[in-house]
Amino acid sequence: MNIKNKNIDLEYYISLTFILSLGLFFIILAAPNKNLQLILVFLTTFFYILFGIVHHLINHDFNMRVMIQYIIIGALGLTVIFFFLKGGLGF
Amino acid sequence: MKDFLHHFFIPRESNNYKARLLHQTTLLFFIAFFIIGGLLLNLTENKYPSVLGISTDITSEQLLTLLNQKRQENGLSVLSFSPELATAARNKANDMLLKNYWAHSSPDGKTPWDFLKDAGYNYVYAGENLARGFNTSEDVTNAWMESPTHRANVLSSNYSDVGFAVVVGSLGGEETVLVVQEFGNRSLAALPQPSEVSVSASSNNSNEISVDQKIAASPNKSVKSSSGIIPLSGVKNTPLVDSIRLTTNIGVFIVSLFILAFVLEIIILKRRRIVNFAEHNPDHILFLASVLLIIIILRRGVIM
Repeated sequence: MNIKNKNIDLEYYISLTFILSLGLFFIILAAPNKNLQLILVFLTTFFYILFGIVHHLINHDFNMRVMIQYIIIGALGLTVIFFFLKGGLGF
Repeated sequence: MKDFLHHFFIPRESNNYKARLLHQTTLLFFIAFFIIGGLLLNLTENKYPSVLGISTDITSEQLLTLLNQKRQENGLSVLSFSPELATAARNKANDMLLKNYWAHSSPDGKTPWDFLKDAGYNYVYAGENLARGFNTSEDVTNAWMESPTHRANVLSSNYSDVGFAVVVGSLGGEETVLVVQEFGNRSLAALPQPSEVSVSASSNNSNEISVDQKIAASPNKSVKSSSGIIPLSGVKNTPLVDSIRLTTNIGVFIVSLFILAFVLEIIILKRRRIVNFAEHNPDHILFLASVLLIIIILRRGVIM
């Protein structure tokens, strides 16, 4: 990996951290409205997948396998939250 | 066993330098596990509430003891339990469930002070604290103490009486425990400025929640005190397994395993100088760490 790519990665990780933090902030703000919190969880996951794909496109190493990996990890996160809401809180 | 664990967690030749845990088929298995598990737990909760459910222990008796404990720790006099304020609190809680709102003032403009007057409590000073989604009286009291505005009510020298209501009901489609705490003082002599009315320092931000509503009144009972009969309310539910704790523990454990596997992959592949997707693992680690934080946020109670 060259210096240019390292800088792109750093910018990307800062952006991703910012987006995830923003998502968490709005989820806190939306309490106690669980429906709104759930929508925000979906949005945060969507932006995580989108940013991952954009990052790989910028790095010119995007392929189907990368996209599927992001989608599956995103789905895993969503189902963990579903498991907690449905099984734990009875939502 | 050791070989199986290595195959599962450590990237090596046998798993094509990707921990078995991070293979797509394994990930899909866990996705299915969480969906089916969530639905099964929900079904069990509904069918066998004594076996699986949310463990709750909040009573007005405990709330009064904890409140007075905090006041005494801060050199203040204890508050007396007022049946009128308890009635006002219970009416307020029921009104929130009936009209489906979570705020100090109702959508039709009814303020906490109206509930006090309706209950026959003619106040000079009054205040209100609200809480929902907590599981123990200690958690409710601690949350109020951590918020400057609610703490101001708890530790105000302007009040002489207090009343509580603990009510279970559905708000915004979510089964929740509402706690209403009404403060008051009707003695003019004890106050420095008797003409003023002190309101709860909390704002009146109305959170409209539009889902069907139902009220499950909390089991109310009465006890004799030195001041007469006082209505007590509380919610005590101790199922065999606490569903919140169970799902949190399982969720946190599995997500932590994935985070650990991603971290191990980065370290091992970097050491062995093998290029694969591991250089983008920080994305997944950041996202999964956020999922853990979201679970913590979702299980927190809310005060107003």
